[in-house]
This record gives sequence, structure tokens and C-alpha cells, in this order.
Amino acid sequence: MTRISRRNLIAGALAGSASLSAPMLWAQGAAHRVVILGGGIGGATAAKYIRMINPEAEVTIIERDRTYYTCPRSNDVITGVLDLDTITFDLSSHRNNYGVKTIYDEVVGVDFDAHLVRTADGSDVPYDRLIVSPGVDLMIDQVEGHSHQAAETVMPHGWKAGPQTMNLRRQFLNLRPGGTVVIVAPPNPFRCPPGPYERASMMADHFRHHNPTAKVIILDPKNKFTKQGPFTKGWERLYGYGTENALLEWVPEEQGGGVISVDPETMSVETAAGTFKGDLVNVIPPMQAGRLAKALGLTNETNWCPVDQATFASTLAPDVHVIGDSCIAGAMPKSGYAANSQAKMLAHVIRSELQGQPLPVPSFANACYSLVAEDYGVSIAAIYAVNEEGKIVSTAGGVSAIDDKPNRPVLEAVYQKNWHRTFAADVFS
Amino acid sequence: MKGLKMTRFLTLGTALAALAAPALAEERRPTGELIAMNCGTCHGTYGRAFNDSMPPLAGMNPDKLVNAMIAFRDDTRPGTIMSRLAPAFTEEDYRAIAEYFAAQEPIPYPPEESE
Repeated sequence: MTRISRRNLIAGALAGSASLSAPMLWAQGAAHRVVILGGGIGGATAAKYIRMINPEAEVTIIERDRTYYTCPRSNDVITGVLDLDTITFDLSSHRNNYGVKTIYDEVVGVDFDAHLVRTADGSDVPYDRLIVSPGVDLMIDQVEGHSHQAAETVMPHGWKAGPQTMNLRRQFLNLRPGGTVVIVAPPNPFRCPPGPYERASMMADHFRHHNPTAKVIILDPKNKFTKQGPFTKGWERLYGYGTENALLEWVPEEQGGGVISVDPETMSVETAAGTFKGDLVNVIPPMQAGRLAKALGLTNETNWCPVDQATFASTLAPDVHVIGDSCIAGAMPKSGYAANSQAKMLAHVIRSELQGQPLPVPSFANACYSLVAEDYGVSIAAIYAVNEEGKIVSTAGGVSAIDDKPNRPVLEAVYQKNWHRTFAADVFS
Repeated sequence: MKGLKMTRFLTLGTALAALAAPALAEERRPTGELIAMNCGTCHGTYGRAFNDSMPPLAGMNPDKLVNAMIAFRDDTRPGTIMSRLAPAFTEEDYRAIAEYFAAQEPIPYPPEESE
């Protein structure tokens, strides 16, 4: 998968329409063609909202998989609370309700000059604006001793929902009495910052009811994590965190939690704090922009995609926008909500360009509820704007207050569950 | 409290801007439509979700919505995340959001299907 050269493509009616640096003008009178690579949360939201606010645009999603599993609430599937069906979605509503075209195929290259996407079956799909939303790539090779084979079998990541989620679920629900789960947390930046901590929490919640001598240990290359205050308060309240018999342990970098290597043969993890053996070892590798973004040359030395943070226009290719986990979006986290919000902003940007209007003033949101237990939620939420230096910054927000109001975490757990329903519907229905 | 801080910050920002570029036009704000679409992630596309937690906003009386946002901003209305988000916006923003949602078709009760 590489940037295909122009001469490999059939030069037809599109020849001569390219411009390297200046944005391509919308073809006069013709339909405005937006092609989206990736039908996950970013891509699916962008397609729907572009069609909602800008029905004259022609929108095509190119996606490899026919079904999508949301990472949000996949931890509930791992611990057996939900079935995979609850987090399974597809693009049928996009076709039926919003007139979005879908192509299920691999992308093999893009000709940025000719504005063509080539798919594995040899088709060339023309665009006026290209949106790239490929999520993250898990850098399994960066973990000493780890392998793709081990990641598919004994040391799954569970960081792309679907078969990986089900692998973890099988191992987790078959854990021996008194067994140990080791979660290797990734370094920053990574998709779903609260994810490893919510996962450990929900495992501890399961142990509390079904396997009270079992334990989950988080090995972390970091010394802090999102919602740490409310999370640790919940762990103290529910799981004896910080005591001898805690159901959940967190080993930060300063206590030797950074992983040196893993050994799938012995199911052990080597750290400065010693060797940890697990009955279940969940290795969440370091991350970078989705492979497609990298193959298309849309990443920089950080391995993520630089963009103009007010328009999500790639700084490396003309008429291309990158949204979601792959892009560098200032203070915004790599979350589904953030991808959804960026997609809505981009829908406004594209409408403005199409209609020759001034670019919209950006506004973004992120809200994230995590479960510490089935009936105990914590949250973080923020609003973002773009500052004078062109960076996305938070203008208001915060995490759940830690206080003695017993209804607060209960209420936040209820909100978490309802949030997933409305969120998934906003993306896929 | 947060709202107060924000106001001071904006005043200072405006003063500095005036100093640097006296001809600078009034600050452009995001449209009500754009902000409201970010509300839709929890409250449903067009504000038309019906569930146990977040109220549907489609068709809501705009004064009611503006007053709710002011109460969240001032931390006098209980909730989960709204009191943390409301201080990001001006009362004119609240009004713009409210007008967007007021113009949407309300969700029937009982809802035909959950969105």
C-alpha cells in the first residue's frame, strides 16, 4: 500500500484537473464528491453530517469491513455484561437514510494530484475532497518478545473491538479461581485514555461477585492517567485499593511499572519492579496513526497526522482532511466522541468551502463516562476552541467531583449506558 | 465561579485585542447549529433522543433551555457533566443553541422507536 504514482493511473477525463498546492476548486455545476476512507466513528459521522447539512454533496465511504464494533462499551463485553451484538453496527442507515454510497474494499493508493482513490479491485474513485479516518495502528513489534501471532492468541490487546474482544472475553470468563490478570497499559498518546483503567475496574467488579481471590494488575509506563482522582476513589471504595487484599493494583512507571519485555511462552511480563506472571495477559501496545494514513504519507515524525486544527486539512497533502484518532488535534483526546465532534466540524468546513462562505468558527466537545463498576460511573468532559496560534485548547471542562454524594457515581453509571445508545445512534442511525 | 473567571478572561482578551488592532471586528462565535450538533452526541441527532438520562432537546421552549444552561453554568442545577461544559459559552451562545433546537421537530411521546 503506497502512494501510487500518477502514471500508473488511467489518465482520462480527470487529467489536467490536478493542482499540487492550491486547493482544487469544486467543479462547476458537477456534483461535489467527498470520499471518506474508513467507516468507523469519524468517517461514519462525517458522512452522515455532510449529507444532513449539505445534501448536494455526493458522499462515498470506502471501508474494508462490513461490520463495526464500537470500542466504547467493549469492556462490558469482555467481562460478560453485554453481548457483542450490543456494540455491533453497520452503514445500512447511511445508505438508506442519508444517500451515502458505500464501497467495501481495501484502499491500495491515492493519487493526490489526480484526486483518485484506487481500491484493491482496480477501481479508481474520484474525489474533490478526501477524508481519511483510519483510527490507530497497534505497534505490536515495539513490545520486546511480543508477536502478531501472540497478540491474536495468548496475549490479546482488545483495543480494536470485535474478535479481539471475544478472545479476551473467553480467557477472562474462564479465569481460574484466584487467578491473576495482567494489563499492560500503553504509553501516551493512545486511543481511549481511560480504557485500560475502566477495563481493570470492570474486571475487579466481576471478581468481587464471582472470583473474590482473583486480582488484576495494571503495569503502566506512565505516572498518571485520566480521571485518576475519581477512579482511585472508586477503587478504594469498592476494591480495597491500596490494601493487602486489593482486587486491583496499579504499578506506575515510578514504581517500575514500565514493561521491558513479555514472554508469551511463560505468560510473564518483565518490568523494573520484577516479573509478573498472569493467567491472562492483556498487552495494549503503543499506538500510531492508522496504517492507511502512514502508507499514504499523511504522518510526520511523530507517527501521527499533522493537520490545520481549525479545518483538519492535512498539512502534507492537498484537499485531504484527517480526523479521529490518527490526527494531531491539540488538547483533544483520542476518543470516539472527539472523532464525532471533529467530523461535525469538518462537515461545516466542507459546506462553507462548497458554498464559498467564510470558514466556520470551530467548536468541539468531548464527554466520556467510564464505569468503575456496573453501578458506579465517573466522567470527564470538555469544550474546545482553536486559539490564536491555531491550536485546539480546552475552554471549559473537568472530571467528576469527588465528594460524599452517594447518588453521583450511580447517576454517572446510568448516564454511561444511555450515552452509548445515543452516541452510537448519532454515528450509525 | 468558572463563568466569572471566563468573563474576566474574555474582557482582558478583548482589551488586549483592542490595543493591538483597534479595527478588529467583534469576536466571531461558533454558530448555534455547530454547537448544538455537539450536544447531539448525547441528546441525539437534532436533539431527538429519548432515554433515561439526557432529555430530548428538539422542540424545547428556547427560554427553558437558556435558563437551564445559565443554571448549569452557575452550578445551581444538578446534573453530571453539564455544569462543567456550560461555562465555555456565552448567554448569546445559549440562545443560539436554544433556537436551533426549538426549530427541530419534537420527538413524539411515547417515542415510536428509540433513536
